[in-house]
Amino acid sequence: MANPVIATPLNEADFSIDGFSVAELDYSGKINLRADFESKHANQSLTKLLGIDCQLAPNTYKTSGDTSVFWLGPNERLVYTNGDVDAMVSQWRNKAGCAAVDVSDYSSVLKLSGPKARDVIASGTPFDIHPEVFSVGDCTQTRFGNATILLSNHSEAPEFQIQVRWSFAEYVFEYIKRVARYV
Amino acid sequence: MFIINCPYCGDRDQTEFSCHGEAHIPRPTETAQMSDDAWGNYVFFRTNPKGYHRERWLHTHGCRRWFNALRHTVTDEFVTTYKIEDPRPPLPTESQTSSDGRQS
Repeated sequence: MANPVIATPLNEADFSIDGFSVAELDYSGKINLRADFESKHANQSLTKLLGIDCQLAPNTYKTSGDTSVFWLGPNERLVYTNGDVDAMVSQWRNKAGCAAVDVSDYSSVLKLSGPKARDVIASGTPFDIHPEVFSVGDCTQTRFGNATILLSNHSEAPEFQIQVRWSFAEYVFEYIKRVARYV
Repeated sequence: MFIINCPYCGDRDQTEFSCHGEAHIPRPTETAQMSDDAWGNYVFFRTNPKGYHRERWLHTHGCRRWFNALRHTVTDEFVTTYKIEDPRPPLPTESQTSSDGRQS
């Protein structure tokens, strides 16, 4: 049976400095979906189950209530949910003709906010996060230092989220803390 | 630093990608009947041209999709990138490119 211990790699650590703060978000369910989202049948049944149209433009995400769907590739999506992941996975696997995998424990999600957030992110990634090319509703997989991340823009405030693999979470968090003192 | 155009994500930094050698090498089907020479050729031998080269690339730190690129091995010029299932784009003609190191 599934391990009942719910944990995050950084124990929801946070860090603040003048004009910037970073905090690890609470545990949330994550599901990786592989399907032919161009196919009407697969997309319709997934949309019905999720309440969100999975046919996304590349490098964007959609949110409805506590559920978000991120574009990872032409045939791959990532779902954030606070619902019952086990039930969703078995339901989608059987009905929507897609591969659904529970990846809740794969990664950590950091929330970065404050006026300096853009500068902090720019210090670690080659990706251009200027608001003209990376606006609210956009997400991208890119590099931060030596780690692969899923970066998403959540507010013009600004507020960003960085999803990083469990084993790289501490590295990214320490990296962010260090550069935040200098930007 | 190069900017490489991923067919799925658009223009991205070179450091997000990794190159995995020559493209369009089909895996043999009649493996039981193959000679050691034929296996050796399939596994180890590549064209290694000085000039335009079709290569397999992976958007490692991005969408993790494989695609092909047409690159010049001397000037590092990326002529184009294309999806695996797309037809092979033609090689650029002489007039479109500098002749530095180009194989004739």
